[in-house]
Amino acid sequence: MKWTGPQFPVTIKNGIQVDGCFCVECCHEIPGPKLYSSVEELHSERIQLKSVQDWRNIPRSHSSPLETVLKLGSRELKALLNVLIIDSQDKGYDKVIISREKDANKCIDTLSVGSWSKWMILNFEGCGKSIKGTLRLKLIELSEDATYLRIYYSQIMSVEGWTYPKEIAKEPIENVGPFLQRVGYIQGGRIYGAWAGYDTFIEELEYHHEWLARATRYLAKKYDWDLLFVHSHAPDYMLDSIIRRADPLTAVSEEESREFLRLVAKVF
Amino acid sequence: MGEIVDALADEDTLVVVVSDHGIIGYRGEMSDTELVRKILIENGYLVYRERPEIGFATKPQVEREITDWSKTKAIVHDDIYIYINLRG
Repeated sequence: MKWTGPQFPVTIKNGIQVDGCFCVECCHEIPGPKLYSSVEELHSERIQLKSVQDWRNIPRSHSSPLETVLKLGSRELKALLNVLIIDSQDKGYDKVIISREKDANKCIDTLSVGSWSKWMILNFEGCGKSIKGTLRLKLIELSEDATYLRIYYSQIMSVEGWTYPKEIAKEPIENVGPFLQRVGYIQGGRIYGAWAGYDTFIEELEYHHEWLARATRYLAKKYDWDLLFVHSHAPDYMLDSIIRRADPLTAVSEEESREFLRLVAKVF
Repeated sequence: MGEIVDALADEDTLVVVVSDHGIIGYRGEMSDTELVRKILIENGYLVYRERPEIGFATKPQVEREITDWSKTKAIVHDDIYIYINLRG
């Protein structure tokens, strides 16, 4: 399970292997995690909000509904999601509706600030290929006047290719959920993938590890085994992202040290 | 780990927890990696053609720094490794 170190193509023949790519990139991902932002921001993709056009079944909005488009995927493989922004309670913009089509009745999910969408499977197309990928979005920020909109998406993994034998991949996806192979993190100010703050970082780690536990239990109960390896990268992500600010010797203040030691404890 | 052990292990199962490295604090302005890098540079073992201010980097930043391999004898990688340039 998440075989330690870069190990594709696999070398085992009598066994099952799930993943085996590095912690900062994966040869099976469509892209890594990404942050969209309505303002210029380091390591984010800029999105422009405008008045809605051609949307159907727009829910009641107390301010003029707005829209934008998320261009997902890589240079070769692309997909689009339409985004509708509304003011549902007359207290400023507060909801983001995610949909493949410009029809709110067919939306995938409706997000409030801090909430994750359900996992979705989208077709990514380009260069004569069509590949299914799994992803979820989180609404990081939406200001009342919609000046600030930030949306994060988790690494988009192909639905297959990251297991040996190849056909095993669909079993954990169907039985325990989509695979999240890596999370965005920050090391000394440098961002790997995307960065939307420590809460999102820990939520991503939590999903990743719960998935590992669920998938391990599922596969180890279904198939015979003599040796089981499970690799968790959380301590290293934590080391790179948090430890310098948690260690009293290097933290800027006692307050910072306390706050980041709390995050260390949460990761473990 | 607890969930996996509870679900799959019994009294005959050997459970081994291992790590490929540990964690140390950075005491002072420089990480141990940067300190070793500084020693290599000052003694002429490591020569960069170009290296912007990178900060707390523990691994070589291949896309941001350019090493002059014709003059470099050794590089630092993480807190514990010094790699020798056998071709240099």
